[in-house]
Amino acid sequence: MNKKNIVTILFFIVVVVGFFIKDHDVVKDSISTNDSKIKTKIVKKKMPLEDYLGQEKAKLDQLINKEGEEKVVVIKKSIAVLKKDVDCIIEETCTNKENKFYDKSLDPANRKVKNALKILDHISESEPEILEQINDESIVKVFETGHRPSMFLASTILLKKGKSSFIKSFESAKSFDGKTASSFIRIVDQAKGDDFEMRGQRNDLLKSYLSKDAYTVDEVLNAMNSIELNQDEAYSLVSSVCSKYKGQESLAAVKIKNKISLLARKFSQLDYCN
Amino acid sequence: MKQSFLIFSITFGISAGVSFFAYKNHTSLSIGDRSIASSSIKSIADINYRRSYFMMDDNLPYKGLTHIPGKDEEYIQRLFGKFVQAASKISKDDFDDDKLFNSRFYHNFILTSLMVPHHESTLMHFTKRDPKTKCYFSNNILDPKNPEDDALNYYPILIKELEAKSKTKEFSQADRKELKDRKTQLNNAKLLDKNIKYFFKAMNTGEKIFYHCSHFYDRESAQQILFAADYADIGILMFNSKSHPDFFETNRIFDFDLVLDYGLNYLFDGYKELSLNAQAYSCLGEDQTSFHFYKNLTRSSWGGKYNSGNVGWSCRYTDPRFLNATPKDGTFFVGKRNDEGFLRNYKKFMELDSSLFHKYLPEKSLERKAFFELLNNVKHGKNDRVYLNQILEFDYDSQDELITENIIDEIEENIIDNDSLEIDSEGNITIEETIAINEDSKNESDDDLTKVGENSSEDDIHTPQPEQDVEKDVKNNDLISKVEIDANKNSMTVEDQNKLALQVQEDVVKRYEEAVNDITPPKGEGAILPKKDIVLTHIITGFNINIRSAADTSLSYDTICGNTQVPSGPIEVSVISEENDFTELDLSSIEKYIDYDKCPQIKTAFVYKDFVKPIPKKSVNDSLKEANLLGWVTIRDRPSASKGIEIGTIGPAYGKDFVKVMVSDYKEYGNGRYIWYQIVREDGSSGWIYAGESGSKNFRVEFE
Repeated sequence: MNKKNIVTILFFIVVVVGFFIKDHDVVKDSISTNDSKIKTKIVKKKMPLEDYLGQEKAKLDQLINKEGEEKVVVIKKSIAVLKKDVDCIIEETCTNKENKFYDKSLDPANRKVKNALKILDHISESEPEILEQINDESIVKVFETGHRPSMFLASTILLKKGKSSFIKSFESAKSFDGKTASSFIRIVDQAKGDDFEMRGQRNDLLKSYLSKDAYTVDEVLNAMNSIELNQDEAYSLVSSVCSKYKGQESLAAVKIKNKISLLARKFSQLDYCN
Repeated sequence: MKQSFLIFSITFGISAGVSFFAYKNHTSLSIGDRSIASSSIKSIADINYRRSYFMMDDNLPYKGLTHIPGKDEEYIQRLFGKFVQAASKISKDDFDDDKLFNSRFYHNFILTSLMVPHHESTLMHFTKRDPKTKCYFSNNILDPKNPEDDALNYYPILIKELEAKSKTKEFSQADRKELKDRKTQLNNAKLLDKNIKYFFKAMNTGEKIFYHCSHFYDRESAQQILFAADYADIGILMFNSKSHPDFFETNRIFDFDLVLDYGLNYLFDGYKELSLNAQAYSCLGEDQTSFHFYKNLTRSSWGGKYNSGNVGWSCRYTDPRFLNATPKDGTFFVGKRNDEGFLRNYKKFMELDSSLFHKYLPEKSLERKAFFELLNNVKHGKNDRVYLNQILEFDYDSQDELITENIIDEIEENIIDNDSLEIDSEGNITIEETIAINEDSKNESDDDLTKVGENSSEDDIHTPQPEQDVEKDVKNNDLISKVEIDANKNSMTVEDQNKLALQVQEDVVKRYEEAVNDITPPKGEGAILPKKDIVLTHIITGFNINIRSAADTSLSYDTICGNTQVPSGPIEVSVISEENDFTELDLSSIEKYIDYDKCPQIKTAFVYKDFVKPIPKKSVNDSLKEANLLGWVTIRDRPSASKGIEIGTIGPAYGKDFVKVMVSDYKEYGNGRYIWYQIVREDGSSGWIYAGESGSKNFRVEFE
C-alpha cells in the first residue's frame, strides 16, 4: 500500500468518525427532546344551563335536539336568560362601568342572550307553539342592547310570532342609526306586504331615520333604493333631506344628493333636489 | 517515514478540523442557535418578541397567508395585494364613485387599511419557523413540563433567593442581571395568566390547545400565530378577545382571509361614519380637499372605533384629558400613548419612507409601484390607477408555500349527539369534555414543587437561556391593552404599569429601527402572480326598476317598456354594453317584465347603470335559481349556526305564504340531511339560510 493510499484511508476514517460523533449526538438530541406524550382525557363538568349558554360555541345543536323533559328545561332556561341578562346589558351592570371605553354592544354577556335566542329560533322552526311561551317585551328589549346579531335573531322570532308582536319593536327601533337602521327598514319592508298599517309604520320609521346624521341618512337611502316605494312616498320622504343639504359640498352632502338623484330615476324623474 | 507521518499529521489535522466544524455547525442547526440575541432582527417576524408567537399543532384549523423566514419580500407582496383588494372591495361602492368630488376617501381608506396592521402587528399573523429557536416561553407556560414552566410559582422562589443573596457580598453583576430578568419573566407570566383565559373563553376550545415547545422539536418548522405581548389581543389586526366575542366564537382568528374581512369591515364602519359625519368631529378639520383632513381621518378611524371601540372617542388625540394625561391617569394615558404610537407609524408611511412596505416590496414590482401611486394619491389628491387597478386583478392566493391550510375533521352542523350533554330536572348540565393532556406535565403536577431548584435533566438544554432571551413586557405598538388596566391582579399600580409600558415602547421602537435601518428594497420584480379567475354575473337590484328601449338620458316615459316587479328579488341578466349611464341587456332574462305591445321593436333593453351590479358566481354554467321561501329565517354570513354571524332576517310578508329568493349556492350536512342555501338579496349582498331537514314537513325552501 503506498503512502498516498494510507493517507486517503486515514482521511476517510477521520471523516467517518467525525460524522459518527455528530450523528450520534443528533440521535441523542432527538431522544431527549422527542418526548411529547399527548393523551386524551374525558372530563365531566356540571354547571347551570344559564351559565352554559354564556360559553362561546356552546353545543347548541345538542340542546336544540333534546327531547321531552330536557327540551322543556332548555326552553324555560333560555327564556329566563332573556328576562335576566338583557336587563343587565342595558343597565350596564354586567361589566366594569368605569372602563371609559365600555360599549354595551360588545359586552360578552351578549353571547348568552344570543345563544338563548338561537335556541328559541331553532326550536320554533319545528315547534312553532313554543313561541307562545316567549314574552314579546323580553324580545323587544333585546333591541336596546345594540348587539346586531342578537337583534336579527330577535326580529326573526318576533316576525314568526306575528304582526302584533313585531310592531311592538318599532318604538325601540326609532333609536337605531347607521347600518342597524337600514337593516331594520328592509326587514319591515319585507314583512309589510299589502298591509296598509305597516306601510305607514315603515314610512314613519324612514322619516325618523332621515332626520338623523348623514351616515344614517346615507345608509337608509341605500335601503330606499331597494325597497318598495311609490313616487309620492319617495318624494315626500326625501324633500326635507334635500333642503337640509342644499348648497352644501361636503362628501356627505354630495353623496346623499347623488343617492336621492338615483332614487328619482326609478320614477323617471331627473332629480328630487333640484 | 518521517515525511509520511508529517503528511498524515497534516491530513489528520485538517480532517479533524473539518469534522469538528461540521459537527459544531450541524449541532447548531439541530438543537438551535440558543445564543441568538433577542434584538437580532433577521426577518420581519423577529420584530415581535418570540414569546408573542404561539406554536400551533395540527389540532387547530389554520388557513391562509403565512410568513416564512427568507421569503419576506414575497410575503409582503402578497400581504399588500390582499389588503388592497379587500379594502377596495369594502369601500368601492361608497367612495369610488365618479360622481363624488374626489376619490381621496377611497384611496385613503386603502392606505389606512395598510397602516393599521403595520401598527398593530408589524404585518404578522402566521409565521412558520423552527421550533428549536423560535418556540419560546408562552407554549411552555401553558403546557408545563419543566419546573420553570410553572413560572408563577417557580420564579418567585428564585427571585426571593436572589434578593436574599443581594444582601450578601456574593451578589455579583451576573446575579443582578438574572434577578432583573427573572422579574421580567414573572411579569410576562402574570400577563399570560391574566389574559390568555379570555382567549380560551372566547374560543371555547378548552385550555389545552397549545403544547410545550419540546412537542415540536422533531420538526423543521411549525405554524405560529401572533399574540400581543400582553396576550390580550391576537393576530395581524390585534382583536381583543373580550371585545369581539362574535369574531372569536366563530373560530375566525385561525383563517387569515376571515380576519381580514372582519377587521377591515370593522375599520370601515368607523371610517365611513367619520367621513359622512365629519362636521361633528372638529379634529378632522373642515377642508375636505386638504391633506390634513385625510391624515386626521386615518388617525381618528383608528383611535376611535378601532382602538377605543367607540366612534365617540375619535378626537381623543386633541382632547386635553388625554393630551395632559400622566402615567397615573389610567385609560387616558393609555389612549394618549397609543395615539402617539400610531402617529409615529403614520409618519413612517408619509414622511420618513421607513415602513415595512418601503423596505420589502421589490424595487420593480407592481406592488411597489401601486404603493407609491397610493401614497401620492392620498398626499396630493390624485386619482392615478395605472398600477392599483392591476393589483386588484392578481390572485394573491395562488398556490404557494406561503398559503397554508390545515384542515381538521369537525363535527358537522346539526348532527344529533345527545350523549355528551345531560340536563337534570333543575336545569344543571353535565358536559363531557375530551381534552388532550400531556402525560409528563401531569406527573409534574403530582410532584408538587419539590423539583424547583433541582437540576431538571437534559430537557433543560432546550430552555433558552434567560439572560439572552428575556423580553420586556410590551403590547406591540399599543403599549397595553385597550381594556382597563387591572392593577390589583398584577400587584402593580396603574402608574407603575404605565411607566413600564413607556420603557418597553422604547424597546419596540429600537427593534423596529433595527429591522428597517437599511431601506434598500430588493432588486427585481419579485413574485409574478397569476390573474384571478373569478366568474361574474350581473343582477338588477331593487324593485320597480324601469326597463327601457333606449339609453334615454331624458328619462322619457316613451322609452319605458316595463318594470321589475314587487317583490321579485334580484334578477340575473346578461350584459351587452354600457351606454350613456345605461347598461344594455340581453332580452332573454327579462322578457317577462317587458310589454311587447308598447315596445314591439325592442331588440335589447336598457336599465340605468346604477341598478345593475356585478356579483361573483360559482362557475360559467351556474346561474341563480329562483325559489320560494316559506317561513322567516335568520340570515348568516356562513352556512353554520355556530360559526356564522347573524346578518339579517328574511321571510314572507304577512298574509303571504312565501317570498321569492334567488339561490346561488347550497351546502349539505349529515349526508344530505341538513340543507343550507346561499341567497342573493335584492341589493346584491348575499347570505346563508338554514332550510331545515331534507324531506321534513318544516323544510322551508321549495324550487319551482
